[in-house]
Amino acid sequence: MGMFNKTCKETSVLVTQSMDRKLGWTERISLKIHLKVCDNCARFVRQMHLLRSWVSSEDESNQPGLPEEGRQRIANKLKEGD
Amino acid sequence: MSNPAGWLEEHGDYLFRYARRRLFSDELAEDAVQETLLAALKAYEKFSGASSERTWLTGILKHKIVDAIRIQAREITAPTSSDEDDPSDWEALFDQSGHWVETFRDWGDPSSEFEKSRIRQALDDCFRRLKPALAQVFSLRELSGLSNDDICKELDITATNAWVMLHRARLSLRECLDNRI
Repeated sequence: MGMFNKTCKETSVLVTQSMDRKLGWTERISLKIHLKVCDNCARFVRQMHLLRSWVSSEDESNQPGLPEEGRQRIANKLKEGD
Repeated sequence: MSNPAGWLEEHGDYLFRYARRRLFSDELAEDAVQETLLAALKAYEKFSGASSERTWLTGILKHKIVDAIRIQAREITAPTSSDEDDPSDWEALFDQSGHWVETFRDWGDPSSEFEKSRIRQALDDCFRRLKPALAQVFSLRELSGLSNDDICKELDITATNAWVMLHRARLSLRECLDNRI
Protein backbone atom coordinates (compact mmCIF):
# COMPACT_ATOMS: atom_id res chain seq x y z
CA MET A 1 0.00 0.00 0.00
CA GLY A 2 3.05 2.24 0.39
CA MET A 3 2.86 3.76 -3.05
CA PHE A 4 -0.74 4.84 -2.43
CA ASN A 5 -0.07 6.30 0.98
CA LYS A 6 -0.05 10.05 0.68
CA THR A 7 0.17 12.78 3.26
CA CYS A 8 -2.23 15.74 3.21
CA LYS A 9 0.59 17.82 1.78
CA GLU A 10 1.14 15.44 -1.13
CA THR A 11 -2.60 15.08 -1.57
CA SER A 12 -3.08 18.84 -1.80
CA VAL A 13 -0.67 18.88 -4.74
CA LEU A 14 -2.61 16.10 -6.47
CA VAL A 15 -5.89 17.93 -5.82
CA THR A 16 -4.84 21.11 -7.55
CA GLN A 17 -2.94 19.28 -10.30
CA SER A 18 -6.09 17.34 -11.07
CA MET A 19 -7.58 20.72 -12.01
CA ASP A 20 -4.86 21.28 -14.62
CA ARG A 21 -4.02 17.86 -16.03
CA LYS A 22 -5.28 14.30 -16.14
CA LEU A 23 -3.81 12.40 -13.20
CA GLY A 24 -2.10 9.08 -13.73
CA TRP A 25 -3.64 5.83 -12.52
CA THR A 26 -1.70 5.53 -9.25
CA GLU A 27 -2.25 9.21 -8.55
CA ARG A 28 -6.00 8.84 -8.95
CA ILE A 29 -6.13 5.80 -6.68
CA SER A 30 -4.03 7.38 -3.96
CA LEU A 31 -6.12 10.55 -4.12
CA LYS A 32 -9.34 8.53 -3.76
CA ILE A 33 -7.97 6.52 -0.85
CA HIS A 34 -6.79 9.58 1.01
CA LEU A 35 -10.05 11.49 0.51
CA LYS A 36 -12.03 8.52 1.86
CA VAL A 37 -10.29 8.75 5.20
CA CYS A 38 -9.44 12.44 5.46
CA ASP A 39 -12.35 14.84 6.01
CA ASN A 40 -10.12 17.87 6.03
CA CYS A 41 -8.75 17.14 2.57
CA ALA A 42 -12.29 16.39 1.36
CA ARG A 43 -13.33 19.87 2.54
CA PHE A 44 -10.24 21.28 0.85
CA VAL A 45 -11.35 19.70 -2.44
CA ARG A 46 -14.81 21.25 -2.10
CA GLN A 47 -13.28 24.66 -1.43
CA MET A 48 -11.02 24.34 -4.48
CA HIS A 49 -14.00 23.54 -6.69
CA LEU A 50 -16.00 26.42 -5.25
CA LEU A 51 -13.04 28.71 -5.85
CA ARG A 52 -12.94 27.67 -9.49
CA SER A 53 -16.67 28.05 -9.99
CA TRP A 54 -16.72 31.49 -8.35
CA VAL A 55 -13.73 32.70 -10.32
CA SER A 56 -15.13 31.50 -13.62
CA SER A 57 -18.52 33.13 -13.19
CA GLU A 58 -18.72 35.72 -15.94
CA ASP A 59 -20.23 38.35 -13.69
CA GLU A 60 -18.24 41.56 -13.77
CA SER A 61 -20.92 43.73 -12.24
CA ASN A 62 -18.90 44.60 -9.14
CA GLN A 63 -16.09 46.05 -11.24
CA PRO A 64 -16.06 49.82 -11.63
CA GLY A 65 -16.53 51.30 -15.11
CA LEU A 66 -13.88 52.95 -17.22
CA PRO A 67 -12.62 56.06 -15.36
CA GLU A 68 -13.31 59.37 -17.10
CA GLU A 69 -9.63 60.24 -17.43
CA GLY A 70 -8.83 56.96 -19.14
CA ARG A 71 -11.82 57.35 -21.40
CA GLN A 72 -10.57 60.75 -22.54
CA ARG A 73 -7.07 59.42 -23.10
CA ILE A 74 -8.37 56.54 -25.19
CA ALA A 75 -10.70 58.82 -27.14
CA ASN A 76 -7.74 61.05 -28.06
CA LYS A 77 -5.64 58.05 -29.09
CA LEU A 78 -8.43 56.79 -31.29
CA LYS A 79 -8.68 60.16 -33.02
CA GLU A 80 -4.94 60.06 -33.72
CA GLY A 81 -5.28 56.51 -35.01
CA ASP A 82 -8.07 57.48 -37.37
CA MET B 1 -23.65 48.99 -39.25
CA SER B 2 -21.01 49.40 -36.64
CA ASN B 3 -19.53 52.81 -36.00
CA PRO B 4 -16.01 53.06 -34.54
CA ALA B 5 -16.72 56.46 -33.02
CA GLY B 6 -19.37 54.92 -30.83
CA TRP B 7 -17.31 51.93 -29.62
CA LEU B 8 -15.81 53.68 -26.62
CA GLU B 9 -19.16 55.03 -25.53
CA GLU B 10 -21.02 51.81 -26.06
CA HIS B 11 -18.50 49.16 -25.00
CA GLY B 12 -15.86 51.05 -23.01
CA ASP B 13 -17.20 50.16 -19.58
CA TYR B 14 -17.84 46.55 -20.53
CA LEU B 15 -14.36 46.04 -21.98
CA PHE B 16 -12.72 47.80 -19.05
CA ARG B 17 -14.55 45.62 -16.49
CA TYR B 18 -13.67 42.50 -18.44
CA ALA B 19 -9.98 43.47 -18.57
CA ARG B 20 -9.80 44.73 -15.00
CA ARG B 21 -11.03 41.46 -13.57
CA ARG B 22 -8.27 39.60 -15.43
CA LEU B 23 -5.42 42.08 -15.02
CA PHE B 24 -6.13 43.25 -11.45
CA SER B 25 -5.07 46.76 -12.35
CA ASP B 26 -6.91 49.86 -13.59
CA GLU B 27 -3.91 51.05 -15.51
CA LEU B 28 -3.28 47.78 -17.34
CA ALA B 29 -7.00 47.40 -18.02
CA GLU B 30 -7.19 50.88 -19.57
CA ASP B 31 -4.19 50.11 -21.75
CA ALA B 32 -5.74 46.84 -22.87
CA VAL B 33 -8.97 48.62 -23.84
CA GLN B 34 -7.00 51.21 -25.77
CA GLU B 35 -4.94 48.57 -27.59
CA THR B 36 -8.11 46.69 -28.41
CA LEU B 37 -9.90 49.66 -29.91
CA LEU B 38 -6.83 50.71 -31.89
CA ALA B 39 -6.44 47.19 -33.25
CA ALA B 40 -10.15 47.06 -34.03
CA LEU B 41 -9.89 50.32 -35.92
CA LYS B 42 -7.16 48.86 -38.10
CA ALA B 43 -9.00 45.60 -38.67
CA TYR B 44 -12.34 47.28 -39.20
CA GLU B 45 -12.73 46.19 -42.80
CA LYS B 46 -12.32 42.58 -41.71
CA PHE B 47 -15.19 42.77 -39.26
CA SER B 48 -17.83 40.74 -41.03
CA GLY B 49 -20.68 41.47 -38.71
CA ALA B 50 -21.13 37.71 -38.32
CA SER B 51 -20.77 38.18 -34.57
CA SER B 52 -21.97 41.12 -32.55
CA GLU B 53 -19.69 44.11 -32.31
CA ARG B 54 -19.15 43.47 -28.60
CA THR B 55 -18.25 39.83 -29.15
CA TRP B 56 -15.79 40.84 -31.85
CA LEU B 57 -14.17 43.48 -29.63
CA THR B 58 -14.04 41.07 -26.66
CA GLY B 59 -12.27 38.54 -28.88
CA ILE B 60 -9.56 41.09 -29.61
CA LEU B 61 -9.40 42.12 -25.94
CA LYS B 62 -8.77 38.51 -24.86
CA HIS B 63 -5.56 38.47 -26.88
CA LYS B 64 -4.54 41.86 -25.56
CA ILE B 65 -4.99 40.60 -21.98
CA VAL B 66 -2.71 37.62 -22.57
CA ASP B 67 -0.18 39.97 -24.23
CA ALA B 68 -0.32 42.32 -21.24
CA ILE B 69 0.30 39.50 -18.77
CA ARG B 70 3.19 38.16 -20.84
CA ILE B 71 4.83 41.58 -21.00
CA GLN B 72 4.23 42.22 -17.31
CA ALA B 73 5.67 38.83 -16.42
CA ARG B 74 8.85 39.63 -18.33
CA GLU B 75 9.26 43.12 -16.99
CA ILE B 76 8.24 42.77 -13.39
CA THR B 77 8.77 39.18 -12.46
CA ALA B 78 11.95 38.26 -14.23
CA PRO B 79 14.44 40.25 -12.11
CA THR B 80 13.08 38.95 -8.81
CA SER B 81 12.53 35.30 -9.54
CA SER B 82 12.54 34.62 -5.81
CA ASP B 83 8.76 34.67 -6.10
CA GLU B 84 8.77 31.31 -7.85
CA ASP B 85 11.45 29.74 -5.75
CA ASP B 86 10.14 30.52 -2.32
CA PRO B 87 8.06 27.55 -1.17
CA SER B 88 7.86 28.62 2.47
CA ASP B 89 4.52 30.40 2.14
CA TRP B 90 2.64 27.20 1.47
CA GLU B 91 4.80 24.65 3.26
CA ALA B 92 3.98 26.37 6.54
CA LEU B 93 0.40 25.14 6.09
CA PHE B 94 1.54 21.63 7.02
CA ASP B 95 3.13 20.13 10.11
CA GLN B 96 6.23 17.95 10.01
CA SER B 97 4.30 14.80 9.24
CA GLY B 98 2.53 16.46 6.31
CA HIS B 99 -0.85 17.07 7.98
CA TRP B 100 -2.73 20.35 7.55
CA VAL B 101 -2.17 22.64 10.50
CA GLU B 102 -5.60 24.16 10.03
CA THR B 103 -9.00 22.45 10.09
CA PHE B 104 -11.11 23.64 7.15
CA ARG B 105 -14.76 24.50 7.23
CA ASP B 106 -17.50 24.11 4.65
CA TRP B 107 -17.92 27.32 2.71
CA GLY B 108 -21.35 26.56 1.34
CA ASP B 109 -22.39 27.92 -2.02
CA PRO B 110 -24.46 31.04 -1.47
CA SER B 111 -27.34 31.64 -3.82
CA SER B 112 -28.48 35.13 -2.84
CA GLU B 113 -27.36 38.04 -4.99
CA PHE B 114 -26.07 39.83 -1.93
CA GLU B 115 -23.83 36.94 -0.93
CA LYS B 116 -22.61 36.41 -4.49
CA SER B 117 -21.67 40.02 -4.80
CA ARG B 118 -19.82 39.82 -1.48
CA ILE B 119 -17.83 36.86 -2.76
CA ARG B 120 -16.95 38.65 -6.01
CA GLN B 121 -15.69 41.57 -3.98
CA ALA B 122 -13.67 39.29 -1.69
CA LEU B 123 -12.17 37.52 -4.70
CA ASP B 124 -11.19 40.81 -6.23
CA ASP B 125 -9.46 41.86 -2.99
CA CYS B 126 -7.69 38.54 -2.71
CA PHE B 127 -6.44 38.61 -6.31
CA ARG B 128 -4.82 41.94 -5.59
CA ARG B 129 -3.02 40.49 -2.58
CA LEU B 130 -1.52 37.62 -4.54
CA LYS B 131 2.13 37.87 -5.49
CA PRO B 132 2.20 39.22 -9.06
CA ALA B 133 3.87 36.13 -10.49
CA LEU B 134 1.17 33.90 -8.98
CA ALA B 135 -1.65 36.22 -10.04
CA GLN B 136 -0.39 36.20 -13.62
CA VAL B 137 -0.35 32.41 -13.88
CA PHE B 138 -3.67 32.05 -12.09
CA SER B 139 -5.32 34.65 -14.31
CA LEU B 140 -4.12 32.99 -17.51
CA ARG B 141 -5.34 29.61 -16.30
CA GLU B 142 -8.66 30.41 -14.62
CA LEU B 143 -9.73 33.74 -16.10
CA SER B 144 -8.43 33.44 -19.65
CA GLY B 145 -8.85 29.67 -19.77
CA LEU B 146 -5.40 28.88 -21.17
CA SER B 147 -4.09 25.31 -20.93
CA ASN B 148 -0.94 24.66 -18.95
CA ASP B 149 0.95 24.12 -22.20
CA ASP B 150 -0.08 27.53 -23.46
CA ILE B 151 0.82 29.17 -20.15
CA CYS B 152 4.29 27.65 -20.36
CA LYS B 153 4.71 29.02 -23.87
CA GLU B 154 3.42 32.48 -22.99
CA LEU B 155 5.51 32.87 -19.86
CA ASP B 156 8.45 30.72 -20.91
CA ILE B 157 8.30 28.53 -17.81
CA THR B 158 8.34 24.76 -17.32
CA ALA B 159 5.20 22.68 -16.75
CA THR B 160 6.34 21.86 -13.23
CA ASN B 161 6.89 25.51 -12.49
CA ALA B 162 3.40 26.36 -13.74
CA TRP B 163 1.82 23.66 -11.55
CA VAL B 164 3.73 24.77 -8.49
CA MET B 165 2.69 28.37 -9.03
CA LEU B 166 -0.95 27.46 -9.63
CA HIS B 167 -0.87 25.36 -6.48
CA ARG B 168 0.50 28.22 -4.44
CA ALA B 169 -1.91 30.70 -5.98
CA ARG B 170 -4.91 28.52 -5.11
CA LEU B 171 -3.73 27.89 -1.54
CA SER B 172 -3.09 31.54 -1.07
CA LEU B 173 -6.49 32.56 -2.47
CA ARG B 174 -8.17 29.92 -0.34
CA GLU B 175 -6.67 31.32 2.81
CA CYS B 176 -7.48 34.90 1.90
CA LEU B 177 -11.09 34.05 0.98
CA ASP B 178 -11.56 31.99 4.12
CA ASN B 179 -11.02 35.14 6.18
CA ARG B 180 -13.53 37.13 4.15
CA ILE B 181 -16.55 34.92 3.60
